[in-house]
Amino acid sequence: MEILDNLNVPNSLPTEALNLGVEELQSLIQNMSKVIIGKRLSLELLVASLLAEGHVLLEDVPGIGKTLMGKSLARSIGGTFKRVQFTPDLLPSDITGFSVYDPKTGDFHFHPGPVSANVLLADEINRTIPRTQSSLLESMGEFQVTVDNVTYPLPKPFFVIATQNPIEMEGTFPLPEAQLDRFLMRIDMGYPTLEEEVEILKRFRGEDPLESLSPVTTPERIHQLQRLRSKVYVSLEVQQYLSRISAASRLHPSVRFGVSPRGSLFLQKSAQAWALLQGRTYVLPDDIKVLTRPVLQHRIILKPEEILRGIQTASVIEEVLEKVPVPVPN
Amino acid sequence: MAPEIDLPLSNSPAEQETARSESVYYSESIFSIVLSLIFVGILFFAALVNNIQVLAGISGGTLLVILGARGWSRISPLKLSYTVRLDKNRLFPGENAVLKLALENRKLLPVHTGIQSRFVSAGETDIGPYEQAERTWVLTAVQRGVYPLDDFKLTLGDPFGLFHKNKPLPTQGEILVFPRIQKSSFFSDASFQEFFGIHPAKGLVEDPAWYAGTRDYTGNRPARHIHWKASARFRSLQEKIFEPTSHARVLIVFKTIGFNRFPKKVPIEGGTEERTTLFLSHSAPLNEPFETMLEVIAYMGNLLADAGATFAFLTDAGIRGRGTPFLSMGQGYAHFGQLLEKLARAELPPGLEGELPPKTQGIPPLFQQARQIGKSGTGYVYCCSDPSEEGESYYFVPHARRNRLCILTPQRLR
Repeated sequence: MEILDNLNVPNSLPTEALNLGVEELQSLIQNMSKVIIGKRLSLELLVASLLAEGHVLLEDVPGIGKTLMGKSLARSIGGTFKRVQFTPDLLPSDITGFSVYDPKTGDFHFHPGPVSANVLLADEINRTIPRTQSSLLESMGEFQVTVDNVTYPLPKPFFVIATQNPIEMEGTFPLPEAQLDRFLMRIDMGYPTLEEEVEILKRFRGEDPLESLSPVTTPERIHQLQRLRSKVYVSLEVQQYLSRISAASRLHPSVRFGVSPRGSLFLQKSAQAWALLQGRTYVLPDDIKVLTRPVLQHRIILKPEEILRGIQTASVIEEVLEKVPVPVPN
Repeated sequence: MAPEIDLPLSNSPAEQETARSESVYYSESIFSIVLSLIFVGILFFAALVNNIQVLAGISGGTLLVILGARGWSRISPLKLSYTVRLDKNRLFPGENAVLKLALENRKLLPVHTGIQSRFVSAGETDIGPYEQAERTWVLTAVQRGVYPLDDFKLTLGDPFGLFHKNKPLPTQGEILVFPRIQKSSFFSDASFQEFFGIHPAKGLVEDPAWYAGTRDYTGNRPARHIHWKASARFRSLQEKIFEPTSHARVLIVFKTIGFNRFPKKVPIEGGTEERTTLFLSHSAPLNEPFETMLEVIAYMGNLLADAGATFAFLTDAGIRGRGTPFLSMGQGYAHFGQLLEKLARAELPPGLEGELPPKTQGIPPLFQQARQIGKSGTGYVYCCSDPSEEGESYYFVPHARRNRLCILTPQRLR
């Protein structure tokens, strides 16, 4: 707490609530670790997104455990869980729901779609056409869905976990930029290490451990923790640091479109969630550094000629982080 | 600032300590000739024996300068760090890359330095005690190809320029110059897309299961696309506009055997003299039809990437550097970048000049591979050197009636 005093941080979070919240979040991660082996950072990022009221895009090659990660989170927090397998013939109404005419009453009745759930797993989202992908825009951004001019609010918390295969693969449709921007983080999972793979084989030898996974928290508690997250302190210096990163991303010569103000807002929210997850009531520049890549990498659009040269957003972000000076307390 | 590519060209402090044991060789200098040294030594000895003080002074002084300069050049690599940076290593013809050499002398003795490679020469400069120097060259891409950076030599010596040593640098980088994206008069964007059975207004993808709307029937589309109910409503023929929900697949097969028979041209001269702008070009004669074909393939790749189609590339050309002559099915601009890299690395395999290749027995390996990759619904582009080779496409196009096939030869592209 010495650093906290030096930074003159207004400590508005009650210690008891903070400790309880951190303990609960750690047990949530621990519970998911029973099924997802060796991906601690990915799990922490997933929980941070949930706390920040954002949505997550899990991207990697098939068979890495993306769907399993989504399912394990849904099981661990309880609440309603829906899964949609995105296919080329899926229509927007299959996601949002539709009105059906009832001949007895002579009225239209709304049949809610799978979007009306606490956790929605949008599996292989880039296997469907952009029109259907875009049907999630309103629900992800505004936590509501509008059908036939009637707006229906979505349950709280509402969390979308979308999985996608790398866009170069055959039979995929790249997500539109507006849709990508709605995702708080894009998490690349990566292959497990040798030891981790052996552990996976051991755990999945008999029964599926996902079946025995029980909830360790409730959607109501998650909603409370989300409100607690909003009270985590972000100093002016850290906000300036964050803004400099966003500005530098726009000025980079390889970048066509840099980070939007919404991206900066999302980065701040994620940093608050990350700080809470680490048991802190304030955000450090290190939190920003850790989260810059997962939060910003899908928001930066490179120039086509740079894509042809093999430049990737990850390397651009690394350069930006190297160049922007980190604030230090006086 | 552009992203800088760190070439493995910097020496660590540990490397500086072991610099003495690294392989170095001396460049020619009048004073490096052993005979000269022996002659001056004998002269000095004779002058001393005969007590000729003036001659002894001159020859002794000369000997001292030679030995001193030689010793100076020997220790010049010590505590000298160097870094070579290249801002881009993938270029289109006409684009520039900036090559920077930064040197830092961390000792009391000044050093004379220079750098040499196949496209960067001289760059000589003196660096004083505890001084830094930076040289910059602009490399202009002229001709498609691979330009390795493995022949860099750092020239080190005394500030008088009497002795030099050339120290080979352990570099592994390379500069790739992509082919031009050459639009061919053989096909327009629209005709290329139309050829693969898709209307130019819609792109290369469609799904007959879902349609987004209707428009006036154009007459060149199949009658099964007519929307009869909409036609009755509008009192004019309407055709269905389909949802883009399936991808077109195109396999580009490039058979290079046979291209050797075309006459070669001498390329543009590459610059090697001391100047700050240098040109990336080869000295070997150019096979123009081969280069044109590569440029047209690059153009096709661009069309396919724009349309969101998936495409693969297969060739029997040699591939310079790393990689294979095959690019698997994929889509998007990153995939197109990989195609450009294959094309930049493609080299014409040796063959008989001025003659068509003899007919081979059985199915050539290129076509066997193409047959394995292609499947029903795949469109094919077969690039070969002569119209007489068109028939070979039947080796790898299954169900030729159902699969679209486009044949490109240098004669057609003219």
